[in-house]
Amino acid sequence: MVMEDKALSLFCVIVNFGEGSKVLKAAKELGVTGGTFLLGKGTVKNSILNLLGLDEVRKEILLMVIEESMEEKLNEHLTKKFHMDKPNHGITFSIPINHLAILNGHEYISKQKLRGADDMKYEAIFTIVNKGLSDDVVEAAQSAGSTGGTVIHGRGAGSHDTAKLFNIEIEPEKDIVLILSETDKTEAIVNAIKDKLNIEEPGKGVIFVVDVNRTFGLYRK
Amino acid sequence: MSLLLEKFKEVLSSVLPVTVLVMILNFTLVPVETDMLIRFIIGSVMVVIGLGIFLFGADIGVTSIGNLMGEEIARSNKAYVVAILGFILGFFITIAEPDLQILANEVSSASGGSIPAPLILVVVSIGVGLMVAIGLFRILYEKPLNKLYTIVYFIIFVLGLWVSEEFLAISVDASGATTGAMTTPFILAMGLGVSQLKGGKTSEEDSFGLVGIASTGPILAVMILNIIAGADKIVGEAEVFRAPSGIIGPYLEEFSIIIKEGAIPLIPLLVIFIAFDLLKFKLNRHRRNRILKGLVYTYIGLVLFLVGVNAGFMDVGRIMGYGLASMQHNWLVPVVGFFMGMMVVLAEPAVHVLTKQIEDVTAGHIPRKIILFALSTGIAFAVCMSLLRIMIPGLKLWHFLLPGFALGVYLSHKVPPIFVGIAFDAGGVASGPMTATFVLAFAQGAANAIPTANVLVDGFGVIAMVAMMPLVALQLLGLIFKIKAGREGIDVNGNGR
Repeated sequence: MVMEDKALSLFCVIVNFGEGSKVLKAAKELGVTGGTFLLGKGTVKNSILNLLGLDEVRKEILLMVIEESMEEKLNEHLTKKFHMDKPNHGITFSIPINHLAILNGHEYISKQKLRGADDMKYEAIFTIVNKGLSDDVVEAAQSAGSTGGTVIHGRGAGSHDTAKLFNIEIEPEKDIVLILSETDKTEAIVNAIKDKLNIEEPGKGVIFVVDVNRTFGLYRK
Repeated sequence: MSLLLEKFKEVLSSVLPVTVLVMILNFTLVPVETDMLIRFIIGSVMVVIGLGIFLFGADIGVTSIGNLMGEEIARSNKAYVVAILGFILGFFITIAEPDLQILANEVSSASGGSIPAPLILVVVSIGVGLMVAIGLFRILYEKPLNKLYTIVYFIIFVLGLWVSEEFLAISVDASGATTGAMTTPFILAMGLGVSQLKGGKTSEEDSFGLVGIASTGPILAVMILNIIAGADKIVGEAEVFRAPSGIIGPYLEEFSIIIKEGAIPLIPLLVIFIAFDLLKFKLNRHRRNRILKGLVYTYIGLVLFLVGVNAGFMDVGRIMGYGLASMQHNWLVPVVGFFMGMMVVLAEPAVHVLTKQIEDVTAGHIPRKIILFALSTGIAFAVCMSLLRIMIPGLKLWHFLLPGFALGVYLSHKVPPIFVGIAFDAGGVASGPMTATFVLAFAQGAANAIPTANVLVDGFGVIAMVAMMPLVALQLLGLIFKIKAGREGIDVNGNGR
């Protein structure tokens, strides 16, 4: 396994349903390796539509793990291509990824600790795997001391798995597992998931860790 | 407002193809009277607006109620509650379906009055009620869909041996008639609600298939009625067709009928919703109002849609069918039918609801376009073969239905489970108001011009074909999906590894 010292970030794009795949395609032109889509609902701020009850729109949320240095360029490219600077054309934002991520068989460990890292007691571990494997992820995490996980249903397209049917791309279904863990347990949990699901093999999945400032309601043993 | 524009763009793109086809035919092969052509254009506009409003309403109204009911059923966790609620819901939404009332009257007169119309109505509704209850049990007790379909269609096959050919057509038509524009989204959403709340590994594939099961109810019911009553020849004559004249007149006439008919299927939904909201859901004001607004939209949309189709499309369909069939080259009839079937299904209201639900459940994994492609191709062949059957006296309906359903059941053991549910649901979904009026009128028009055909007898069975073909087409799509995915290393089935 290759370890690299690079800062990563989680780049999120929220657009109307059906636009997501186009955005990912544009992002791939810049070298992004893949992305995961979640479905959601957005609201429109318009008093007439509110009155009519027509204020809900289907949205797609696209998550991409990229190198932090690429952020600026990607943002510029997407803004230009999809006119994100205009209203109702979608929004983008990015979140710094903590010192740990496994992506395309590369393990990224950033040496530089992020700001105020000492105060943080919790981290959020995101694991994205093929659909149906979420139970294995949660099981592995629990064996390493996690109390549980939340499974979100989505679809994704990496560099390994796009098939075409009648010229329409079929993006496979994915399970996204969100696990909140105490900082000192994170590494053990990530390793347990990694070993159980062979994440270090390309195409098996993605893990990344995001800092959490505060948590409430988390069960403590 | 871009939101509204988006929606209407989508609707426009699904109604425009059939409008263009009719226009092309008008200027090349079968010119129709100017009055009728203007009516058709007005009808197209009404269909676009009506469909748009209907889909908005279905989304926030009917579908929401279906989901809530499904969740309530799953939450009850008691077998008798599931059975009773499933039966009551299935029964009442079916008995209020205007299409079924029309069919009941037709069947009654076709059987020479030996089966009274109200009896048909009640028996078919009981059939749907029972099958909905069985379908819900299946989801909760995790019985595989393909096994249930195999058993039910085997029973249908055995009963079919005793039923005359005419009634075979009527019974399968009945299944198309009961899954109307209003009931289909409701049953679809109910299945989704139950399986989502229940969760578990199979929740995705269990979200589909309830419409497919419900639509076997009428087949069984009409067959049993026929065997008991023993009428096996269709008697009587089809009504003599008079093309109405004028532009506004036919619209006013249809409007006054449909404004009443359209309200009837809403009543059970409204009553059920209000009763359950008071007792169980206890929604906040905002959500309740939203759902009620949704129901109002569905009603307005459906009335506009149906008036447009009935006053604008039906006569044109009939004239075109007649015109093409009386030409020297009447082989054009099935060819035109092929394209008509391909385009008409895009304008079916419930098709939009189904494809949206598929996208939601699979998070966009199975794209809408692919489902539409398969469905279009399937219906194209269905209409084409229906017309061949009318033209060639030796060709019987069961020559298509028997191998079709047999293949459908066989494929259900070969394809990824989610496609089984989608395919059997699509059978009920595709045979909606657009097929029941426009395609049927086209076929009847053709039958009128062909000396060996009988308008009344051959008219039955067209909807049956449209209900049968999606089973084959969408499951074949599932098979391609599986093969393709197997080669590229994608897991469609969702079972991992």
